[in-house]
Amino acid sequence: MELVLRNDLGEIERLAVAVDRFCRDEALPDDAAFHLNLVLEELVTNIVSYGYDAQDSGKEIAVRLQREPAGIAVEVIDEGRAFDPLSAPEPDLEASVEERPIGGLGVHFLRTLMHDLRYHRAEGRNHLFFRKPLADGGPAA
Amino acid sequence: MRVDETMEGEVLILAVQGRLDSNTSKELDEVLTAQVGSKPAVVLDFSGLEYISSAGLRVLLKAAKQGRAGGGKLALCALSPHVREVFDISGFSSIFSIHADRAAALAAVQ
Repeated sequence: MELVLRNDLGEIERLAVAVDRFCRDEALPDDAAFHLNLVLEELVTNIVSYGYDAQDSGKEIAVRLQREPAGIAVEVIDEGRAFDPLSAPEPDLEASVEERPIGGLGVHFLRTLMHDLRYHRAEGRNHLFFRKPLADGGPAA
Repeated sequence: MRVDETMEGEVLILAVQGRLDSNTSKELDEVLTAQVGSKPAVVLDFSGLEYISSAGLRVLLKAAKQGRAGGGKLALCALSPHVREVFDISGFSSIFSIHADRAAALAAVQ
């Protein structure tokens, strides 16, 4: 599946609907579907919020989901400024309410819930690749 | 997302339904900003919450800070396993008062 989103937070709903449909068509377990939804929302939200300048409203974000024997391969491509989420520092998960930083959790979810993370920049685009492994390697019964 | 408000004595109960994501969390933020601290206690009933992302957590963290500063209590209840997992992964389980159901949350804030 390939979905092309506009650089707009209102597109999150369309992303969620498309990811849900893909997961249902592929008969993925509930937790894999939830994790894919969560990580993709975080990534697209970061790109829309920080990747572009205000005048870049016509820019697009591509999300590709592909079924593989052992899981789901995902690629997110955007035309925003160069940003490698894998270089971002880990948030402090032990901090108190008063000191808890806001932000950094999206990348933490990506690192925690996905495997085989790779980033590269090519021809003015960010390419982020990762996999969601499926425990049994096949669709849920 | 939908937020239903009911009063249980002095406690405001907010039943949140649907998705709490970067596109919808602003609505809950507006309700919480207006109510936390101005009511003695607020209970968030998440039994109808299907999904939460860091944007939703951000709104809850802001409300927790507001509650601590203003002396209003805040408790959460009835998290689904998926929603609970997001709290656990982010370390938010330890900074919120989380209860199995509405009755337990009400007892905790009385």
